[in-house]
Amino acid sequence: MEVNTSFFIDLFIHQLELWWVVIPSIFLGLIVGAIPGFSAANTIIVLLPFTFLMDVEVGLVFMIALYCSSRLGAGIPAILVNIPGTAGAAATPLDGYPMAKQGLGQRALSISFVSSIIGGLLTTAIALLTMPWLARVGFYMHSVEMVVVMLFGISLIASVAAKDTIKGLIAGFFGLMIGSIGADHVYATPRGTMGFLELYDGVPLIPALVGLFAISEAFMVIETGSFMSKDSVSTIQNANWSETIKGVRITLNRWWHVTWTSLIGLVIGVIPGAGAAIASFVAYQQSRTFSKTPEAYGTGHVEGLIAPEAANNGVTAGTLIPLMVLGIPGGATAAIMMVVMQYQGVPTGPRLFMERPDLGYGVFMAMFVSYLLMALTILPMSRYMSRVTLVSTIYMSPIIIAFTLVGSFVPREYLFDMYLAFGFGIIGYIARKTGYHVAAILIGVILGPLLEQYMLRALKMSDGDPLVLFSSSLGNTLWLILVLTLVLPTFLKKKRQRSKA
Amino acid sequence: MSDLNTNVDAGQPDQPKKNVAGEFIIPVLSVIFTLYYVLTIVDSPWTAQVNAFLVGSVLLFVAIIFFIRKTLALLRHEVQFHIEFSAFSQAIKTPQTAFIVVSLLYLVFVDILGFTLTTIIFFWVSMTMLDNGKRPVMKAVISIIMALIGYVVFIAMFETRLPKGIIEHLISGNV
Repeated sequence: MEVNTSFFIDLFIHQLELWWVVIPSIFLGLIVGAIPGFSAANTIIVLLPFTFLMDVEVGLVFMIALYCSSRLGAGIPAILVNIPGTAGAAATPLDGYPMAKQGLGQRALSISFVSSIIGGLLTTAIALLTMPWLARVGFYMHSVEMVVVMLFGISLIASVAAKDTIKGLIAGFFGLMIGSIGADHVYATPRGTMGFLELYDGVPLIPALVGLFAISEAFMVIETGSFMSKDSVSTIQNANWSETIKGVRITLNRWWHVTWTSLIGLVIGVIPGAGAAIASFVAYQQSRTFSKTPEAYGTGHVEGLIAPEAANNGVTAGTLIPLMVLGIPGGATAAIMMVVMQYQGVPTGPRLFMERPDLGYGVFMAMFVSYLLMALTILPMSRYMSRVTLVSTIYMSPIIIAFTLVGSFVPREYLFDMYLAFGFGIIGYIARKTGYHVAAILIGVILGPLLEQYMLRALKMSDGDPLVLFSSSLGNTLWLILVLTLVLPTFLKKKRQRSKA
Repeated sequence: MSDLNTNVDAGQPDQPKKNVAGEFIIPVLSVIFTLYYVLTIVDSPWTAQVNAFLVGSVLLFVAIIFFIRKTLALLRHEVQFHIEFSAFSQAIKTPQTAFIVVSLLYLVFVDILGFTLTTIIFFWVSMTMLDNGKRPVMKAVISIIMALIGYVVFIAMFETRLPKGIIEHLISGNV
């Protein structure tokens, strides 16, 4: 089978013909993405028997569409009610939720959907064309380089803490300490577990996520009686389709921003184990660094919403590249896809493209088609979804508490995790009340264990020599870029002030 | 910096000084946790210690700077530090505190009464309480509908092993 333009056109048409699988999967993905605790991976596991019964191609299309739309779905509650559905959407509420609070929920959803869809389409197209080269990124990214990538994400704490550096750093490093709870990565020595066996594997992410963001927010909004001010309520009541179109136009005007932030997602997605959370934090941090208005970030800034959404959808194509090209799954969902492919007798890795190029390239084409169909099906829903913010907190707060507590139970099915989420909710509530940034705590909790894991691996290989962190040329280049991104905003700010003067 | 900036207003006679007592909760909590964490790894191999010592030492350093800055601001009478016990008794009567307590009770009872029944009771109690007892029947209907949606999504569709009670057993016919 020759791989040329007509092959790709045929493949595209063939995948479009599978719309009857794609569209229901999109809606299922939206639901599981929006519910904290559920993810594409555990939904596919639940539905695994059905995928075994399907034709391998249909099964893969079903999984791909569900995977892509769950990424997009996770941003919806993050924007509307400050509940990131997954860790990958943890950076979305930083600017999405303030927009919703201003009565711009519909526009924010539209921006989020368009940047996710464009980011997804673009990275899928790039993945289709550059798969063999992109797959090699994983080979060059060792533990030393990954330490620097993690630091890119963690440096976001400094950005978040810009308004009050000391309080921001306390919150961020408190999060990093909480993230260090659990058995150490080499000898499995329990650390800071307070005697709870449930914490030996570390602090689970979903309880931390829903506790710090959703539960604390549910406690906070009771004071006001509404998610929004009276002016914002009238803004959203008077909103019509033009708000959605405005969101589309705003995003399209920032096409370059969508492009480069989604590419960050694609490259990070290729690295096994990295994931959407890192990608969205790194993209947000980089977006803020190179912005002309960094001070607007965190107040409902459009680019602060575009960056994490484009990046976490860029990750979807990235995570599938190592599976398809090398036979190494880059994440949980990719690993489940590998199981399905193996069950159906389909090879993964280089043999896939030699024996079944229609399937190898078809997976990415299915992703492309899924994003296209998402534009047609989900975008019009933004107007109705945004109405959620009009529901009184009398009803919303109890619903948020009950369903997010259940969501924190789902991944491990421990009642302990519900108590943990509640505990994080109280910490988040105190933090908000006393002027500490919950996002800084969360960044520490999410990225802290990953940083430790990569750092220990690097140090073990060098018998504890810390200079190993500066031993690779790629790593040193990344260090240089990291230092530049930390120094550059101050330099640019001073330069701007001087030119204004 | 922002807390010091607010002190410009605090210096004016008609403006009450900012009470910073609450701002100490997170730093004190983080210092206590860091010290506890260090105690748990004293005899551990270096691989278990390295991260905690790096992160913990920075956290302690930043917390000390915070305490020094706040102490200096207190000495300059720019801010005030006092724990109002009367405020505690007032806070206990607020809907937030009541809602937090009801939420905690939800966690306790979900294991005893099962997910659906506890959720119905939790929704009804908290919604009625937050609305000052208005329209209890309508809230009961909303509570039942929402809890049943939760049952369908979490238990029936995704087979989550949430604690089962009388309603779950009734539905599955295992009474």
